[in-house]
Amino acid sequence: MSRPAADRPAAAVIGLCLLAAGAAVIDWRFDFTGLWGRLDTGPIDAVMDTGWFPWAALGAALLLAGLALWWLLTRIPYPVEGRVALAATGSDRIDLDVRSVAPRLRADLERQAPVDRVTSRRFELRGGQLVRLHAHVDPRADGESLIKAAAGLTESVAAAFPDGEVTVRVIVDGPKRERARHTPRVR
Amino acid sequence: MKLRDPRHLPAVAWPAVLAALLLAALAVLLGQHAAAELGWIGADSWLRSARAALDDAQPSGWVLAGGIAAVLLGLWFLIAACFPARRSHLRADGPGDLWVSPRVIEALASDAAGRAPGVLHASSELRGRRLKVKALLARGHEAAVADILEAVGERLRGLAELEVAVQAKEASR
Repeated sequence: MSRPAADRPAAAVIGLCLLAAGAAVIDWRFDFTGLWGRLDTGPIDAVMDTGWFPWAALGAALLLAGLALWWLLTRIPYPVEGRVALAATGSDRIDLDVRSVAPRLRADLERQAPVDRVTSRRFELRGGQLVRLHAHVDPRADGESLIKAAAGLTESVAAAFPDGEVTVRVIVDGPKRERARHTPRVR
Repeated sequence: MKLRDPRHLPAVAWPAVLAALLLAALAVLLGQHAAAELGWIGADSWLRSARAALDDAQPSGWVLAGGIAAVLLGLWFLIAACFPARRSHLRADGPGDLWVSPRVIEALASDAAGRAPGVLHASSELRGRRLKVKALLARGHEAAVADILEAVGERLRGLAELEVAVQAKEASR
């Protein structure tokens, strides 16, 4: 799930609105402040009976529906286009499909570092692409071999793409638990 | 897109999904009112029914339950919005862009400690920058603590700056 920047402030505002609405209902029931007795619903009726109110409600409904849909859709990870433009001279231009680079990087990492189950994901980054490799460590590994492998990978990518069109990041997680082995049942 | 540190899903992720669904529900309420008032559907407006209920001396049980749920949801949203997403991995030294999870540190430290002479079993736990290694030693191997410290330090070199503490216990038999 991606994380829209609007999440925290918007959740705070809606949380405050919910708190206010809930507090109003509880006050209605238990009459802590006596506000409910003094509530005059006349102006509310007057506004609801005007000719423009249904149209305003329709506009607000469309706006809120659009906002809700946008807020939900922004957290769905969108597919990143495979191609990046390499530095070009004159009218010539070369596009590279990064999808062809990722399997090679995965294989390199698996060969050079004491890790297994390497997966990759691509992200757009400042006009280029970031290939994020995700792996699980072998518990017998040592820090130096991991650092060396990541440095070698970064170096080879930097040598192949000196203008930084493609960059690589290595994320290593704990060892994956082996599935419980079942002994074959003998009849 | 800016390159950010690897992070956990923030606490506000699910409240935000729920808040978006609440906004959608409010949109449905307002849209139904507009459709009913403009004669597009034959039903009565839900918003008018809700407004009529305001004239009651006390809210119905369902409205009260909804109010209490709104207070609880509102509190959850507010509290979740206070916490930013926590960093999930530690940055390793070196020119490569390498990030390791605390589980990696723990697994490597446990394995290194377990291979030290005289250690029967070892486990570790990382809290912040403090790595606590618990080891079960064979009888007569009290000096293994120094070996454990050395083995763990050697194994984790360059991964993270940690304060390592060893808690050793001698096997009873």
